[in-house]
Amino acid sequence: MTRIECADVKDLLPEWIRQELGEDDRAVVAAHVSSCVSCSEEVEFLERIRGAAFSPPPSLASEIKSALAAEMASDAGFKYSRTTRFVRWGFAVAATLVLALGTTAIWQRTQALPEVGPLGQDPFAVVWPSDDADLTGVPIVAGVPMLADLTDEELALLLEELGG
Amino acid sequence: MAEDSRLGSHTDEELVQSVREGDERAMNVLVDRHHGVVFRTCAGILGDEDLAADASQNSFLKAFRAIDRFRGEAAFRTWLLAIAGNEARGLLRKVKQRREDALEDVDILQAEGNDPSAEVVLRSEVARVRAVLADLPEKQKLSVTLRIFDGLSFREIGEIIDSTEGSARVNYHHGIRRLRELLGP
Repeated sequence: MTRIECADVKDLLPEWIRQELGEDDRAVVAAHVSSCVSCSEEVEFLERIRGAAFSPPPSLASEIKSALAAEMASDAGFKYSRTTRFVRWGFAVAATLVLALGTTAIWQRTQALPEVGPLGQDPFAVVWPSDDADLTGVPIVAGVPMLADLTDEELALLLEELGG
Repeated sequence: MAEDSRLGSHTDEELVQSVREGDERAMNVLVDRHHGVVFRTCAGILGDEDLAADASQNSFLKAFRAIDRFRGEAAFRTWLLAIAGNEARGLLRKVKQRREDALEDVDILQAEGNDPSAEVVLRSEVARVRAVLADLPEKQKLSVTLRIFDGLSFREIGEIIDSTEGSARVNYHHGIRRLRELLGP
């Protein structure tokens, strides 16, 4: 046996002494240990160490279970995880409500805006007065194409405004 | 009881999910399954069985309080043993502090060391091995005890001692060599 093979076997010896090796590995290790002084000594040494293992007191498991049951009953320690879960739910519900209320508020404000004109038309388009509109007393604005209806005085006033 | 035996065939991960849903029986199955290795891990660090029992109980309480934070990146046992290691180290610090605060008590304990019956105990093979194990550096000690006592893989030991798999293997072999030197053939 080479040293590398011994090293590989020694890695498996803890499982060997605990009888936890699979059938194939068990046969290989058994064959090696039976013919290798170093590895058979290692097995004896590991058994010696294993004999010093601490064993839990027989009552330990039931004492731990009692402590856990008491804690669950008092809800003191495990409440944290439940609280966390509720907090997560609370945040999710609150976020949904804020989103819904915000959307509603924006929609309502949109509905309340003054109408600037029918959709599809230029809101800044000039709306010309109709021909039969009564413009008596309305100031004359340069460019208005109603010159034919103006009196001489009004025309004179218009020319004066235009710097004529 | 029948329910508990049914749960006994479940994996740790399945039981953890049941614990999250408030199933106390799943919690008990996990205690039955892992209290031994938790106890030995704590005892290896503390070198005292009474303190190890206290640390074991606290480890399970802390683990189940924080079960929502267990993400499953490591196996449940690995996660639990990491908690147990921290718990035992914390308790060891407190005990050392208490001993430093009460030097008179230490003197009394040292005087008791002359008791012939105590010497008999110390001479026993088990006590001798435990004493030598206790003197190993912690990573070597945990690598040796978790490997030999509980058959953990080097990969899992590496995660528990916050090292790599290779480092756990090296610590194990160094620990075994040191034990051989101190205990003889």
